[in-house]
Amino acid sequence: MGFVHLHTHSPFSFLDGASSIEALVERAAQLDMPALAITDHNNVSAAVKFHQTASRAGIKPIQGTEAELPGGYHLTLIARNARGYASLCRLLTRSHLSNPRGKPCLDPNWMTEMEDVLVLSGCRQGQIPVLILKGHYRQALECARHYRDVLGKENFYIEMQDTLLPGNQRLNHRLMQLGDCLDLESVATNNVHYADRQDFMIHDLLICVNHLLRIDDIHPARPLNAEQYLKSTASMEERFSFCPRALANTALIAEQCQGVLTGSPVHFPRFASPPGGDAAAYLRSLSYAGARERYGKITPLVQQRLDYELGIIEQMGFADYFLVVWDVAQFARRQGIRYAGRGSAADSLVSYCLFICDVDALQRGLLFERFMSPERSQLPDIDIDFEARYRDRVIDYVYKKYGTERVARVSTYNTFRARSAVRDIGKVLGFDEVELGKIAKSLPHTYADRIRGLLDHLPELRNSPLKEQRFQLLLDVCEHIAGFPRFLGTHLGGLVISNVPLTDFTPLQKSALGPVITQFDKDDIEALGLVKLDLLSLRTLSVVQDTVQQIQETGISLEYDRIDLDDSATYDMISQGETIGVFQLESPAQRALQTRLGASHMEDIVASMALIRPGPIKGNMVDPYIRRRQGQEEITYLHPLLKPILEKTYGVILFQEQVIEIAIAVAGFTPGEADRLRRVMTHARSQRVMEEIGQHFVEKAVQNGIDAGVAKSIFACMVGYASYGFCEAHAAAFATTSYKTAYLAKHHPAQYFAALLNHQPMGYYPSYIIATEARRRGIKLLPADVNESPTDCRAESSTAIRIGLKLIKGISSSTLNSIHQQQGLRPFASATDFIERVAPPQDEAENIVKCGALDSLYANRRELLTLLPQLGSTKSSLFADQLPHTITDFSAPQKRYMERDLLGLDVQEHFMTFWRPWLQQRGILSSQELTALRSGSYVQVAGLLLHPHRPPTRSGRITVFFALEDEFGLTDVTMFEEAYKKWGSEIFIPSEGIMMVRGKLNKRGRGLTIIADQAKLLPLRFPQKK
Amino acid sequence: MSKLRHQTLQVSCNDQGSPSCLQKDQQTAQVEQVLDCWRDTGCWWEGESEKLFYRLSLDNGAVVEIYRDMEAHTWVLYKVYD
Repeated sequence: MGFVHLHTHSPFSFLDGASSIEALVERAAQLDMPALAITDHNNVSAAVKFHQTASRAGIKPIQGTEAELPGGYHLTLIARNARGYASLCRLLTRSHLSNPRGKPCLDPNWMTEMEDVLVLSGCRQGQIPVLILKGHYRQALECARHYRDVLGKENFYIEMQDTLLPGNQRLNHRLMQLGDCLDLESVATNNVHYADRQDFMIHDLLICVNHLLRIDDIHPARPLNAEQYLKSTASMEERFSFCPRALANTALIAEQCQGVLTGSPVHFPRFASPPGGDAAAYLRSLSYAGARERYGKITPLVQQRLDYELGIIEQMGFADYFLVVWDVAQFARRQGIRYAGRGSAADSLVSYCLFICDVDALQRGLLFERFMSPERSQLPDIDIDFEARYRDRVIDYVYKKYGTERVARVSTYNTFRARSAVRDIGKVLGFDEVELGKIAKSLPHTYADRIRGLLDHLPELRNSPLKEQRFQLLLDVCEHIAGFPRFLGTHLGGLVISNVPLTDFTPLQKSALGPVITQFDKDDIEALGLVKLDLLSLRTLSVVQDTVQQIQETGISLEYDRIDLDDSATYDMISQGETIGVFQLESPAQRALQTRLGASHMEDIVASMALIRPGPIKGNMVDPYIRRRQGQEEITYLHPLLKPILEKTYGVILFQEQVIEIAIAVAGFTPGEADRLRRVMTHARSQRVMEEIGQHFVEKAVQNGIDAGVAKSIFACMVGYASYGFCEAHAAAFATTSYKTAYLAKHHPAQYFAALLNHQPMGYYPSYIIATEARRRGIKLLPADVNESPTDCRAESSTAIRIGLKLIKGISSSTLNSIHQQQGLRPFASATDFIERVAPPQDEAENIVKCGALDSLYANRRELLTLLPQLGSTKSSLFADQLPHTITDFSAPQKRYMERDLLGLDVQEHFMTFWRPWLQQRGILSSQELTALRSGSYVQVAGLLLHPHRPPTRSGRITVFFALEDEFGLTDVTMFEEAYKKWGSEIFIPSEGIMMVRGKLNKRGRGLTIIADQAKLLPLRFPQKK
Repeated sequence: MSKLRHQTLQVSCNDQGSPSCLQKDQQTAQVEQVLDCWRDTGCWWEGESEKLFYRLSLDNGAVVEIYRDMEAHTWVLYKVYD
């Protein structure tokens, strides 16, 4: 007799499944189970991974769910085949979308519409068992009779479990009696929540997390014992010796069930209405029309490339998909919404001619095969960035055009990571929450199963309490639940569009943010044959739009799309590393690169995008590239065939497209083969696989007339670079925006930095750094003022930015609207006048006073704060000059501190200004003073700590990078492992204060860095806010 | 009504491993029927061992709950029903 577990919970039961899908399948395989069913609560999110894992293990995957019914009852549903799976998806969608978020509820009346779904009567929370346990046998009988009559006898089974709970024997006896009475078959399940017995405690803890319980709390949801594991057939036979038929039926059901996710075809969206109904012909005509608009006339080269690409697109059946994307881009164009295609789609001339991307693939010589190849059965992936504030309008358009049943946002699996695992599990285990908060904050953002390793590795964790014995259980649990999903989130921009109702493949549910999401993430969606389009929101494009608009309002004519790409002043600014606020060029590593690279044309910017990546840095290839770019190192090629491919990157393999081109030119690979090689090289983890590819490459190269030794050397180079090669098309797409934002920062800094302040948070730096950079560029920041400030920050002239009122912490849109409305009527005459006309809530009024926005009407902030309650409540008509002046105002440092706290930036002078005399007395320098010193000088410098981070290095040794912020700008600091071991705890344990660094000044190119051998928080305290 | 006892006792089991005879203070009672059986892991986080509970009707008319401590391998009279 065989037995199959038909009721199993994976971690996708969200805090009610304590073993990974891999562990469950592995255990089932060890137990020689021919099949296994996953039945998570109200979802099938595990389906794809379960299908893949089980299929690899030779186990038949059976897809199901445990649905919740009105009254909180459970029912086990199992898909007999693909049609049954689609039924489940539709039912689950209804149960989610017809009810409040997080409270799905399946109406039993909908079950009449089910096809090929087997129903088991459920666990002890099923309606029938609950009625029996309450002693209402007759009602239980009627309930079962109803299901039998509605679903059919062959589709409804009485589910029995014996997990050694009180009352089990009697319950099972009555269930058998009921089955006999109604002539219904029974099945035995074990309501599995973990693979092995010992994982029971994980299950118990997860349930405590779910129900916000402490370990000592008593709660009915907590399991009584450790019996809900994946038991062997023998164990189940022992428990169900009273009803062997219930075991045999599980095997019969498993035999009936077919794999439901096998070989899903791709469900491309169908473009709504191509003229004549022929998508391919319409795409062709649009591409040619676009080419004429782009180039003026169709040259033979353009025609040849377009025909080639269109041929492949048609052959692969992607014409509709391209039309869908074109249509989205057209909508944005019509609406004046800025957008920019990114990613490998820019390798396509068709994308360029359809105005999806602005990178000219033909002019750049980009390889279409990197994007799409008939030899690669991979779905096309087109990503478009839209101006952030209007992106949702674009998504709405897609919904309207294709219908809500064919469009949904893609979900993400939000998983347990180090910090969340420590917080959640630690809380259950009864640790002090303040202590847990500190411990969690001290951990880097990493996986939950890496904590132990880090405790010995990172100096700031050297004295971590986590090393104490009392935390060892917590760490064990963290390791076990690492990567377990906690809830479904919403992908940043992934939108799935299909030609068939999505609910044939995925249930849909409400997300926390509102949009309807799939129950699968992007990888699983692709595995299901559904096509995703990434419509991302990019705040940089909003900044661009606002900057251009402000510039145009001053009467200056500026066309963003026609910005001069050869502006020497812009390149000079970039080469000085003055790129804070510039898209993709502002990180310390990028700024350092630019001071040495000496960018003078767009290709330098394109290369920069690819150079500052973990791979090239780890591979130590940045310096050789710079030396070659500067003419300090000879450019050589291993074979003349490489010269045309690598010339633009000075003989260095920088882009993925170059790897493909080399494979084609040297080894005679077809473009598809070459891309496959590139992909295998990128992802291969084993030495053996790499050796096999290398042998194949060399053999083909020799056939192509290349010397074997040279071929081997070329392959070795490819191996070295392929793993971190960057997509050139993507680099080119980003570089254009980078350069143009640099242009705006250089020539229109007031407008550009005002726009940057309005769209925070974005980019690498917070508002106060952006503000300091604006000041460094000679822009005066004018304080927030209820009479002078608009809602947004705004350039008042080419050298001044007025701080907008929306920067004030906690200010509501209704208060902002009210101020805006009142400003239009007449100026505020006094603080009283302002309070009376705007009537802001007390907390908002306090912040308005504290940040100085009422200074021009009443200069003494402290006094005004004390008067605020009276002003609001008495409707006083006092005028400013009638108020008493009896309270001493805040000191200047206190005011600056409040402004920084409430506006996020320093308006007048930087906070460090107040400490400067103290620092000067001790010989501690400012960032400005460093520029005058010689490289190699030993210095001490102080500032506010910014962005400490430890990127990966080739040697594996730790190098720490951070910046110190002062009133003149940033000083970049590098600290090597030896010093880091000593001072790491000062840098990485969060604390408020000013940091002093001692070290050697290192000047390279036009930039400088401190190589620090000491970092210490100074005994300087921020002033109290009150 | 019932009374909690927590007293150790001697238990003989049948071939299936179920209690068949209880012995305490030279008094013996035969098990007439196993009314229920369940496992309880208790406060595992405090190192408490798992227990296998039985609710039994005895030939002397009493209904009792006993458990076997799965680590200590001892039997305990847990509850006596009036």
